[in-house]
Amino acid sequence: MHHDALQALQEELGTVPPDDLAVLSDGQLRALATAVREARERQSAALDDATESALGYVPRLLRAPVRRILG
Amino acid sequence: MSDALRVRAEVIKLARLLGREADDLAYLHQVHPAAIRRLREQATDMLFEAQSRRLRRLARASRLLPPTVLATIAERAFGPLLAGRVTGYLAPARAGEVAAKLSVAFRADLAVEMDPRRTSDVIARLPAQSIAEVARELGQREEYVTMGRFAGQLTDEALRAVFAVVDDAALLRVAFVIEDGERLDHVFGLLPAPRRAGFVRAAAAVDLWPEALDLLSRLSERRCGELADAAAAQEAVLHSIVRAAQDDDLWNALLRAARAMGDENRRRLAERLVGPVSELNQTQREHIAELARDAGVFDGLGALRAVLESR
Repeated sequence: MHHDALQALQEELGTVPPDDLAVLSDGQLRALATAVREARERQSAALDDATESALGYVPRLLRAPVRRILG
Repeated sequence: MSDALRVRAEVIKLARLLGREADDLAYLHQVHPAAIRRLREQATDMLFEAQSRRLRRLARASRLLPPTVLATIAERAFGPLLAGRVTGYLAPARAGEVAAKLSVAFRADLAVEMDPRRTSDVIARLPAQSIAEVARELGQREEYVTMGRFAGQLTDEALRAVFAVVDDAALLRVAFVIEDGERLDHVFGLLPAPRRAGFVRAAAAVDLWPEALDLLSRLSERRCGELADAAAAQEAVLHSIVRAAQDDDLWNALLRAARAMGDENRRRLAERLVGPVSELNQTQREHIAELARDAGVFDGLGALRAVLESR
């Protein structure tokens, strides 16, 4: 069970978490994994909103080339 | 630095990164501070890498735009978190041009979100005065964690400019969270002597002894001695430090600081400790005696030594 919780955190981080975290309970490790995932999701949503809103400030003539680069 | 203090500093930094309150991560207090720091670095890398493709594209598209337009976009559309992430992908000279067009308030917001490890080239190009403006703003906002993260990246010129605009109590709180111990010694060495005395007065005035003693324990013997002597030379400060050692169980840090003091100041500190230590029970006195022996100061404690050995 403990192994699963550590694995969940590892998946969120994309790397092996520090060994010392093994002292945490399953619930604590899962709470940590959730905090990491939510931080990533918040960042991704913010990036979506900001990119769209930024185009409004780009001079009209440059909007097309900027959009092409952003993909 | 005691582990408890270091853990507190690390939990604050991790909570900031994850957009949580430090209390939400209180369970991490059982984890070694080095592991929390490593976890924060891993989470930071993940957050940057998670969007690296899009951030690279944004940085590439930004080359088409003049710095003034980019500054407007950064402040009005991106906000500090994303602007901070994109900064890591801009050419340092370009980032510096844009930074010069941003308001001080936004540059301070940006500093909170940026990863100094990824933007050291940008920071190195910013004028010292510009950095001091941001430091003043961060100090007013009590953003000590952010200031501590950047302290290791600043040039000596920028550090001196920052010292001129940040008060003693704020500097002490920043020193508590500076990440690089060797750098801390260098930073401390740049402080003029009157500011060192101000440091210890600030610790006494606003009850920052845990932070001050932590700072002492992380400095080299020479720098620790300079600060410890500045503390011991002030009667009111000495009184306050003795009370803090009792109330907050800071004996270990205090005795290590005593080792670095000059003989005369160590004797004065020991005299001050005779009264309070006499009131402790035998187990507590034996504990302090053991800490004093470990710190190598037991034989230099004069009358206090007799109190510690009494049964």
